[in-house]
Amino acid sequence: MRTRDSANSPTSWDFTYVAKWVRLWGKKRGDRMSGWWVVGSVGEAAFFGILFLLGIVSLTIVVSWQVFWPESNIIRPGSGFWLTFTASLAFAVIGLTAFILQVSQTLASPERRSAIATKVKSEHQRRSDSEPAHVNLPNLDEMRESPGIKLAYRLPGQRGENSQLILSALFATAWNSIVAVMLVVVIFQSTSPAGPNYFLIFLLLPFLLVSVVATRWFFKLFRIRTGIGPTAVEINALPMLPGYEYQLYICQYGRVEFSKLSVALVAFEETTFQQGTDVRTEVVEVSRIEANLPASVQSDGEKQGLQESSDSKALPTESPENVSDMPIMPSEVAEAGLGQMGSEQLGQSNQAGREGEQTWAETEVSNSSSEPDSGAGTEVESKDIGSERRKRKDRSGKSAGLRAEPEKPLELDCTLLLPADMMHSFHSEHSALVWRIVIQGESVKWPAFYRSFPVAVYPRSAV
Amino acid sequence: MLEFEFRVQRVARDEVDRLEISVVWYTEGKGTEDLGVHLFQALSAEELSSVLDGKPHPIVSTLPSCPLSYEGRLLNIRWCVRLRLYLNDGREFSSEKPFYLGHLTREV
Repeated sequence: MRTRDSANSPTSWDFTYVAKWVRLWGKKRGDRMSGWWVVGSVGEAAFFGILFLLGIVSLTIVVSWQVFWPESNIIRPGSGFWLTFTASLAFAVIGLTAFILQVSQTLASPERRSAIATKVKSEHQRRSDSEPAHVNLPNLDEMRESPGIKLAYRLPGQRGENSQLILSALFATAWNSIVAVMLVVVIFQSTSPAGPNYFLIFLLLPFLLVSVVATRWFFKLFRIRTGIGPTAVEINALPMLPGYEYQLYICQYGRVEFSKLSVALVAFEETTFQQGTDVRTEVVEVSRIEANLPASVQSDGEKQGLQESSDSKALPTESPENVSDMPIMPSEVAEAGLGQMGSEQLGQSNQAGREGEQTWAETEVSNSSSEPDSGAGTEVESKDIGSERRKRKDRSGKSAGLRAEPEKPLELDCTLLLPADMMHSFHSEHSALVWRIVIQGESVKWPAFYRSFPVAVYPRSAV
Repeated sequence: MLEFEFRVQRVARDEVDRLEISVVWYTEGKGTEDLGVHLFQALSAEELSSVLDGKPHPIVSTLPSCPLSYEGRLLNIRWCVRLRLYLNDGREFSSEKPFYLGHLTREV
């Protein structure tokens, strides 16, 4: 406590030592506690010490009673002996362990405790394995255990991808079983002399509704899982090091056609913290390095995107006066009033006859100098006018570069150049920086596609 | 390689119980703090006499290759040299000096 000594100087203070009021309990204020931490530590140690003594005393009583007075009917096997024995043993173990931990936390600084733990771990590691372990870097054993077909290593996929399908299967099976039992009961009661149980029939209706929804949900997930088959990613070297270039090989199975596909090396920060009494984990994407995909994939993806953007707007050539049964040649399109566009380049074309097959010509426009309502600022189509269904069919045929078939999976070779100043992978007890190869795609027929494969990025000096 | 020096001043020898010097990294941010110790020295009573003379005492340590310093969104990794002085009356004084390990000092 300080008081101002006005007699000597208005700015000088005298200090008087006053005993601090000792609270028996504390109050949490943000991330700190009021009161003395010493009182809390001593109190906690005392509590666990008493718990330990209680466990030892009760354990001694229970065991000695059985040893010295076996004829007694009090706490004998079959009438609570083992339950009392287990509870007493648990009290003793918990009390002793927590007491020792509390005392060590009070006596030793955090650095000393951490140094002791690190020393024990490194000693254990030294005895079990000759290779020096980087305790804060991800373990490479799991990533390297599967050799690749084309490149050195096949990366393990993300865990938990099938959990939704399995959960839906279990739920649908369990729920349908309950509904089946209820249905049988309702049918039997209906045929009985007492007559049908209308309450049960009324109760069965919402159960049937949930059963239908659950079954549809399961089959929808199953169809997606089998339609978009598994994805295999291979890499030529592990661990990855900053400043180096790596090759990737991606193989997509199933029956799927992608309108857009991207491959990137993405960093996620993961932290675990306590919020009140809950333990929460937060994950945030912090960095993304795009892979260099093959040119054919890029051009197809861009063209497909261009086709979709132009599809929503009517082209001048689609006006009634321009409709013709004859296939329109790309040069005719250029002459048909689309000269306001910038320079055009003809890409691949697929001419078709009068039987209804579409004729497509893809062009790549250098800049959008056309009028907005023309819809042709990005692409020109030359086509034999037909139905929307045939248009979509040909569109799918045009993007053959991003198509996976059961007999012919989609294979991509790409490269990944890592910057020299990127952060390496890191993990500790409550935090982690994880690098993953993420493959994202958009499909015409299926929901958005996202798969990730963890990799290890080491600092250069660690290897 | 890390070279630093420390000195303890204005404290009598009979007031000091022990002195701990450590080179540590710790995580900071939204998650619970983690601590990793690279170098730890606890000076015994005999060694304290030579240290509490007010003169600088150098320490040299080869730093590990990881973890590098990092400044992220949820997670920061910081390195520092930490000194803890324990007195006989139960009081504890600590002082730390942060430093960067590696070239990375900003968010990726």
